[in-house]
Amino acid sequence: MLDPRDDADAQVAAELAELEALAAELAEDEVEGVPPVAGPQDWE
Amino acid sequence: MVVERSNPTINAYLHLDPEGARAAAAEQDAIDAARGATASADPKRPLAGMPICVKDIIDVAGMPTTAGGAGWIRHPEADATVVARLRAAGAIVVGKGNTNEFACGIDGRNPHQGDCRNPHDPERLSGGSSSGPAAAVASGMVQAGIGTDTSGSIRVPAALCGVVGIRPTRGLVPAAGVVPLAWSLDSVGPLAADVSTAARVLDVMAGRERPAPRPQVRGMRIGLATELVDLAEEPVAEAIGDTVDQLREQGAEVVDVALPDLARATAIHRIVQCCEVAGVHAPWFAEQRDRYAPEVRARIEPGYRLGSEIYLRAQRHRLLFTRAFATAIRGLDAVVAPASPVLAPRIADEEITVRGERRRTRPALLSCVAVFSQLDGPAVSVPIGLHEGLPVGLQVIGRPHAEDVVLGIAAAVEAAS
Repeated sequence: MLDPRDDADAQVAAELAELEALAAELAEDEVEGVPPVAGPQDWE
Repeated sequence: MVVERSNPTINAYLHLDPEGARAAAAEQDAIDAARGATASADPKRPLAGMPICVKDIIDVAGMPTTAGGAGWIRHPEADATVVARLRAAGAIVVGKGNTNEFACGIDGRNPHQGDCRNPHDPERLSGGSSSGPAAAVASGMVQAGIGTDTSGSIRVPAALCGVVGIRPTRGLVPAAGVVPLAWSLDSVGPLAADVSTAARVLDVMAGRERPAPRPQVRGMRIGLATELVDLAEEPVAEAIGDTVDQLREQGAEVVDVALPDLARATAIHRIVQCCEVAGVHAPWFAEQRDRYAPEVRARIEPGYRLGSEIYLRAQRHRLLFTRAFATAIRGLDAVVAPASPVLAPRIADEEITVRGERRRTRPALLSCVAVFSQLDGPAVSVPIGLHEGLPVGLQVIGRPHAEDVVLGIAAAVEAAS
């Protein structure tokens, strides 16, 4: 039986790895000059 | 009492306040008596005597706020702004509704306080994280529930429990007195058995007066998100198809719409939420980390490692997605899609089969809602029937502040169901 804390550590590591992989797909050059705040004005 | 009969099975409430509810009901009776038996409805108290269930991340003075956690608790002296407005309008708070731990989940399970169960089949998920409010409405314990929606936490439990749930335009309803999940995604909204009641409660929460939604779609142009319908299991897809036919019969033009890169949208959403929830929990996380359920800790802790550069890059991509979405639906009044691609899964199942493929339950339940949570506009889940006793929900998505449009479509769908 896995210790719950080890299980949690494993889940944290797996989630972090997934999110880092997803972040790598979000290209820096595509958002050059784009502000990091959206709003209703972006629907116009 | 419906609560005494149903709650031990459904576990919709984490805290009940029968004395407070009785006192509020007596106060309402006194107001009614003073106004006289023949008086018309009191415009100052549009929700007079309406029992409500408030998700336990929203402060109600005199009741603990536990956020569904293992030990986290606060004892608010003041109501959250929405609760103050609802009480001033005559609503009666019956108790605090069950929720996934810190609203961090989509299935309604809670290892600390007990799972909330689906009133249509207690062996199945209620959906979450606004699980208690949805289940309390669906089982007839209250007329309305007050929930929050960050990824889909009003729309998914509404769909699985067969009630109406509104994620309002972000910022329309104040979030003061609500434990945040992710500041730039959170939206506070109502759940109810029908569109009219949900709309009435929303108006009070938003501090505004609007005419009741008209079930009118003639002349509207509505986009069908076929890519999301293709994710749904057959009974859900068939129910959506039947509803589209009904909308066409009522005079709407329904056309297929291709939405921007949905996989990328989901990635953006996950990164933004993780970084923000880490920020919310930062004041106590280090001391409390071992008290979180492992899957909840895993939704929070990576946010401390990702860093601000990745967070801001995701937010910039979010803005591009918003612009691309706005372009994709140009000429449309709204978009419709499944609210959940599946009927309520069994609580015991970590995975489900959809169209012959095994999928993890959590991402499956999020697959039709999280993409729209990044936009600023409203999204409603409305019941469109039952399959083998389990509800199916249609999602209606609109532009910011287009509540009248999406609720009108939802009312038309409801009238035809």
